Amino acid sequence: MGKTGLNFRRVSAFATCVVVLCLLSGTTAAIATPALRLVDTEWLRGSVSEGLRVRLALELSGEPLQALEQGVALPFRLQWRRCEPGCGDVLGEQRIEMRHAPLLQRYMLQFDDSPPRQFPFRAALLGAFEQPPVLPLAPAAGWQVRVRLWREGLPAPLRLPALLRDSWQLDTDWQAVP
Amino acid sequence: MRQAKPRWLLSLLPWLSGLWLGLLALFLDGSGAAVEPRLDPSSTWVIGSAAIALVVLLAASLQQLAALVQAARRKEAGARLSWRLLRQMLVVALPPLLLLYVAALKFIHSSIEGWFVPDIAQGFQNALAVPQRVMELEQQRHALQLRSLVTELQALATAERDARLLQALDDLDALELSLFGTDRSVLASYAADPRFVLPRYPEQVPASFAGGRDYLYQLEPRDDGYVLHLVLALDSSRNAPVLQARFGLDPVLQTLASRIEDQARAYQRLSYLRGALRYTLSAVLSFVLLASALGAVFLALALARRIARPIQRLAAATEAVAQGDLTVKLDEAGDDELTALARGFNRMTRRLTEADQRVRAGQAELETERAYLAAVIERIRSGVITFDGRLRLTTANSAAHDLLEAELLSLRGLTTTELAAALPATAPLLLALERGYATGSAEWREELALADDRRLFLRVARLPEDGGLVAVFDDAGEVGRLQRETAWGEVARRLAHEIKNPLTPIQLAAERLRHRYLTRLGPEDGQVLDRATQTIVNQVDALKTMVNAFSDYAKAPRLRPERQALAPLVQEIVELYRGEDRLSFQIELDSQLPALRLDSGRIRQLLHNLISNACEAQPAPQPVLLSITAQVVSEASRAFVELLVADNGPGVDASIVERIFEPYVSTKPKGSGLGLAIVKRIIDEHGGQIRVEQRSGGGAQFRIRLPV
Repeated sequence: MGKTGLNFRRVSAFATCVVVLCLLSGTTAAIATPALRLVDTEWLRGSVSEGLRVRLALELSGEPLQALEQGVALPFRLQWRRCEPGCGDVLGEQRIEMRHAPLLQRYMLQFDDSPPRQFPFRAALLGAFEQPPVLPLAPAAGWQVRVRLWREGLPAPLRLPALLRDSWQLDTDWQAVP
Repeated sequence: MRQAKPRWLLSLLPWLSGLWLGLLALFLDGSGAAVEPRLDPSSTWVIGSAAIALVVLLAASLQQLAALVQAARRKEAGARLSWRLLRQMLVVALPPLLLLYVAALKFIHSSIEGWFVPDIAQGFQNALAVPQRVMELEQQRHALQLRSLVTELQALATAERDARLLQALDDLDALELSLFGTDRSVLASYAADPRFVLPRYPEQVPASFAGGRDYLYQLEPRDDGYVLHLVLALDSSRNAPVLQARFGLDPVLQTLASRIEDQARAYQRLSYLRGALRYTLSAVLSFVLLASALGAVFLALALARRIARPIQRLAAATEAVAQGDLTVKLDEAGDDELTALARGFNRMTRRLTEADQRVRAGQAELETERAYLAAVIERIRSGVITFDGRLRLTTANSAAHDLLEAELLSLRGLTTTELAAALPATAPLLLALERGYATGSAEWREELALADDRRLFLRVARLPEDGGLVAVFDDAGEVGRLQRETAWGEVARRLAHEIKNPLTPIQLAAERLRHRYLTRLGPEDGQVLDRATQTIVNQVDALKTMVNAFSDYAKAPRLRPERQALAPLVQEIVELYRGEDRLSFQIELDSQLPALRLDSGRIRQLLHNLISNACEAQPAPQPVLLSITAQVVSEASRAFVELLVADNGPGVDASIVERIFEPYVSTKPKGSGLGLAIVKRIIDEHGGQIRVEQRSGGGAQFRIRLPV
């Protein structure tokens, strides 16, 4: 310890600075308004569509918007799990994909395996995205839902930038369903 | 062992980290343009493990670097060499690495940009425009047809309208024709495709006829191709009835259009992804650079220390030899120059060890000779004193102590002047030394008298090293005594030899005369003969006794000393005289007397001579009281057994006390005069000392000291 005592102090100081910087960056990131939000949830009972209706809010801009316009499909996953009280793994998910069809000159939105819907304008596309189909969940306590950009579905060159850049942070935290 | 295992694992961690980083660098694929990458740089486990490996390698490198810097500051052996090697290795390794990195980055960027020529993108756009235009023409044609149909249907009644709609399905080759009312109910619907049998109100309806467009259309992608979907409003009212139609497209056109769209979209996507591709490839290349640089630093540190280690060991071994440890050995495994250096070092230490052993042996021999010389000087009867170049006393033997009657060793370091002040009796000797020293003589002799009139024979020699002096001196009286003793011994030997032989014939002749003629002569002549022959025989006997005494003195028998106690010998002799009426003994012998090396016969003779001397000195009929005591004494760090033999006689005449131990020096009326001389000789043979003292209450006391 005597020989490396000085070194240990310096390394500790260096590590402390790194941790502080990481916390600051994390805090900074937390302060910015997220591009994708889970607005609210509502249980539908006794109607034609019984289950959980979810409302989203998406502000597509910067690189994700450019990618969409240039033909890159943006895959999302709307996931749910139970916490009773410990939270388990993801029990199910709804696949959502939005893309641009240059031949049709339309924006396409597809939920799971249903036929893709076409939209001439991006606003209509986003509006439809923000109101996904009702999730087939039984009303009960302990449900949590989240939406995340499924980076594994992106083209390989885009995965690393999508992991590191803020404009690609299109994920929500787990939110409890009341 | 328990503590060694974790340390061994810890030391292995950086190497494993480096290996893992190398594997990642080889197999990471940042392109993935066409197929899924073998090792996705964005996957969590890749990033996590790479980060951990980088941190481990960085920490290990920093730790080694810090240890090296501190070792260099402390000037440890091998540290500066390691530091120099490290710098040179890094200078060799890092710049080319950096150059390669920059060149590779530039190459990647320019190559990727070179793949995407604007003309190609435009070509794809142009190709895509063709099916788009064809489809637009198709939808315009179909829109025109539907507009005519709507005009016809508006003029017909319901039944006829339905029939006309059905007819139109065939005429227009439509897949579906559905008419919806203002309330969105199905007024009529006909389908040539089972997929459209159940009509659905369109999601979007033309809002107005503004801009000349009274219809909406879209291409619906289906599993088997596209379907042209048109919706026409029958009038311009708000909830006007609508006519919905679906038409198929030419299969060949659809196939070509799909392919063109796919390829155009693929190229468009690729063109867009080139930025991300550059970013990912740059990130992978940067990671490879960082891993390579860290690995180079770590390897350089390890190699530098490894190369410097033999030199470090050599320096440590050299230091150990300088401290006196000649047992250190260096490892001679290997065949490079450092191994040759190690061999040379081991050879050198072997020779040093041998030389050291020779020196030690020489020193031991020197010490032995010095001790022998010191023992000889200490035991000789002559006094030996030495002075250094400034005439300060350095050594003095026991004989010098005795002769000068002073504790000279406690006065070591004093000059001759200071010694003369401390021992006034020795002043003549010291002055003689100063005189001789001042003249610069190499050696001289002289006879001088001390303050108490004792004469000394002095022989002085100058020491060659520091110009000091060594002085050897003897008691002149003692020397004379020894010379006389030697002369007496020779005379005694000759007399004994010359006189002894005729005595026996004389005695025999007298006895024969007596025997032959005593009975033949008359009374008067017989008496004369008897007296004469008896006188001859008696005197011959007396002469024989004297001759025997001479003989005993002349040739003393060879000494046969054995370690034994003195007390039994004393008791034995005392017992022999127990029967004498006028002789009494007072014996006090210390019970802890140590054993001495004694010739028992000679000691008996010594005691017998002392007792006889006391008896002869005391005139009859006065009683003789002999006191014999023995105890252990110390003088000048030497132990002696002191035997005191005291009598109550007339004492020793002062005129002969100096020579009382010489042959024929006696005031007794009887005796051979050789008794005390023989006692002195026996004491000398045993290495002891004898002195005679006058007792305060009368009588003589012999003080005998025998060395332990």
